[in-house]
Amino acid sequence: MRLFAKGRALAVAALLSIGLGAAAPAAAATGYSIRSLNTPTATFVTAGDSVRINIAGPSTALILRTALRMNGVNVTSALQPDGSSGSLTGTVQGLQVGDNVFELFAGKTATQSVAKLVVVRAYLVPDASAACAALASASALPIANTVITSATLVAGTANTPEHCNVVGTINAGRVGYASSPTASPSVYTYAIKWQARLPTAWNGRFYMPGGGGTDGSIPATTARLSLGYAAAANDSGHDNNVNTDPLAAGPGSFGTDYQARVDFAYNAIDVTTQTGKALAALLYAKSPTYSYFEGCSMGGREAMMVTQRLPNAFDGVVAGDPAIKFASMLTHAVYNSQVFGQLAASMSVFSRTGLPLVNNTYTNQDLQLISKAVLDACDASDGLVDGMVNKPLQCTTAVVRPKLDALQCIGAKTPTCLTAGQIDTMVKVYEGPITPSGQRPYYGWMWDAGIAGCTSAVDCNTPTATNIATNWRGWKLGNFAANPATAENTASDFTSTRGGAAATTIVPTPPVLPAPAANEGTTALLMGYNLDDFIAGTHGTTAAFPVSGFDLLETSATTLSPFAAHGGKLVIYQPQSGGPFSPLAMVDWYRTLNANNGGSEADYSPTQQYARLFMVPGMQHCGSGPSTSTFDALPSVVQWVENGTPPERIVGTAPAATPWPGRTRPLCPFPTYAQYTGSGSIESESNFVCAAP
Amino acid sequence: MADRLGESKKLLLRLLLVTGLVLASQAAGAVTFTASGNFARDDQVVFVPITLDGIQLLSVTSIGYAGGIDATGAAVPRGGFDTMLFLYNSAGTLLAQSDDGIGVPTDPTTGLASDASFSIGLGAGAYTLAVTQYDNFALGDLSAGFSRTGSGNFTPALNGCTAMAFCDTSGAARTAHYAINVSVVPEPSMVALMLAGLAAIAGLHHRRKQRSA
Repeated sequence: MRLFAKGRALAVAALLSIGLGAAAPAAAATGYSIRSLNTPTATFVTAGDSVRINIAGPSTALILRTALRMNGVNVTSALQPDGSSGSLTGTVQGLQVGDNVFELFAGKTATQSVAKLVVVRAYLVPDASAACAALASASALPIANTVITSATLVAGTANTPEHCNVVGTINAGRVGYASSPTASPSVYTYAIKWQARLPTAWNGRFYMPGGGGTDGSIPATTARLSLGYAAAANDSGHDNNVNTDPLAAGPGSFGTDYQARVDFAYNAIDVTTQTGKALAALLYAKSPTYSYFEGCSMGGREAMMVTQRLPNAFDGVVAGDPAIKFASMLTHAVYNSQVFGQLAASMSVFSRTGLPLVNNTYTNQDLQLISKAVLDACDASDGLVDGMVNKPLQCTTAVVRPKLDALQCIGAKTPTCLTAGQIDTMVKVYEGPITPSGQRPYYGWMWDAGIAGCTSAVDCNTPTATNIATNWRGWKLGNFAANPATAENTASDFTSTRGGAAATTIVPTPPVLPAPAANEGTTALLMGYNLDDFIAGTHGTTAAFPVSGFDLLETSATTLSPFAAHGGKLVIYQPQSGGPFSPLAMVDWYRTLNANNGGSEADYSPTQQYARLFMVPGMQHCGSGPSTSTFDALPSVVQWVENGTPPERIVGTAPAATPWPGRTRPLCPFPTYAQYTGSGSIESESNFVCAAP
Repeated sequence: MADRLGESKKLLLRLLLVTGLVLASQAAGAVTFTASGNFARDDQVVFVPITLDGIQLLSVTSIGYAGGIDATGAAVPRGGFDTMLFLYNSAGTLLAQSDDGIGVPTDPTTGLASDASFSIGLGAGAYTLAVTQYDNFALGDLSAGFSRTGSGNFTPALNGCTAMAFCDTSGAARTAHYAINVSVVPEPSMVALMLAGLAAIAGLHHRRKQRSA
């Protein structure tokens, strides 16, 4: 299972129709639109100087009155009726290199356009091979101690266009703190390793994908290359193959070094962004026009981070299931290890090493019983019973609890009932962590069908079903073990590849050491924490760690005015079932941001000018779940940044592993929700509106 | 509409094309014909019939607004009204439109490039070109009519000028004159297709000959 999903995991949540605007029409509220029909990429022309354009309007009479201007020149006469009502199509010639701005006016004397579309004609690098090779000896790069290891022209393939692949380091050889008292070697060297891919046919834009997990490797930089983006990414300043001390939570070892924490939190992205943009400027003799950041999970936290700490670095940002309130979130991992652990102990289920085995506290069927109970309680509240909870804030524990109680076993546990302990424990988890002193340091969880869910159209609400989604339990419980006697705790919230590392070495100051990297090692530490003490550690500082883990990584600033003032646009998508991060934490963050902007529960418009939150019913961490989890958010943020068209909906499609493959839904800007219009197929987004709650 | 048709010059453009290759040797873009005249009032529509006898690229450009050279080589002065063109097939389906053409000349006194111009590839058949003045737009196909029909001299109120008729969008007074250059050349892609077809047929013949040999 991929956890704290890598940038690559975006492919899970966000594949298909990727694009700089893709084929999406630039539609204004007026009913007019401009569409590029260029292939394979609608708004990126890599050969020639012409593009096929379609304009559409409310009627033929009205579209005939319109004036289409390209870069201010009236090109309407290139378009002719195409057989569809209210529609003209034709080939417009004379594209200039770079951005070509198409604007549609309702009449030629109108001064306000009714639709806008940017079509990019590629900047082509002349003599690309020599120009790429020359980057290897580039001087005057913005960051000290930058070394370019190689710069090689990579030939185009079916999936990636010809591009210059530049690999390098920043601050290589930096010696870190001793990572643990006893490990050998106990001192590691660090580097910020980065990679840039610069396509020969460039769209004038810069793109950075975020990382995943606790980073430690360079995420793929190829995803948007064919759209012409120049991409750069980094490993966040530590290498999981190098900086891994078995007594310092393995890949979490970097948390024992303060500068490595800083690099991980924000610095590696800052310096790589500057370097990537500088390399692009050298190769293309032109600085990028726009810059975009996109990531999910830890990459989502990085996306949120750039809006907070680097507000001028990026124009458009997509944050998926972001790891915000990161330090606070760990209290929930710690708390869950303890309450699930208590349940396991009460069930006398223990691991190979004698720890309570959280994995076996619930079977897949048990979780599916809960998923169904949530739907029984909350599915209809949005007006349509469709296996999706579209009004999750109304789906409170008070609403769900009676349905859970109805599942309580009368006698012995069977596959069709839950024990009182199972019900009580799950409710505790969904109400959120509470400390011994009675503090509530984090949030509860959002009741949603994605706690489990069927992975095919075959009904999985049966005692023997095997088609039950396991992403949620992968974080909270780990997979059910056939033989507890040989099993270990594998919940990603507790293990050293994910939450366990964060809650031992990466966030607390001083780091909790030794933190054995083995699965059972960090889990045992979490199970033994006093939660009040743990929280104090997240705020701790020492001479060697002058800024706390909380302040480095919480990433929850609720004033984004510098980003907004710079013209930045932020699109967040938040899975409702969550994985490692509470959907309610995101809702609270967004509400607070809105309040700080002068908005209210009745008025999110001040915030929606630059930041929009899209809740995704049923979706699990960065993808999967009984959900319309296949969508690409980048084109909407590009449209927003470059055309001023904010996303009123993002259309999600249910992938094959759902109860309803191919179903589409509008993902709606919070606080609106997808409401069925009452007629037409419930499988089509076109029959749903985004309605006020 | 019949009376307006009666007012308009009825013109027939007939080009005999045996093959595309014959016309390919002609100078591309040569003006074959100019239709010209004067409107009686702003909302007038003049219909020009055009008949094509083969697959051709039809290019139509007005030269009345900014002036130009007509098919006979004579100069047409600047000063005419803001011309619009709409082309229909024999069923009355709207095929092409132009208010302000791309790359048409600018009238130095108004700074506007308000002549109309379009090009479209067409098959053999009878077509109708409608000549109107901005903003008497076609509402759709020929049967839908035009937006200013019955409005008389609408341009002074629309554009804010003191003349009785023929005002352009800059508020300048224009004349009632229009002149439309019409040219046809073989549609290059169509010719290419025809050549490819001929080559394929030749190839078939060749293979058949080989097989029978």
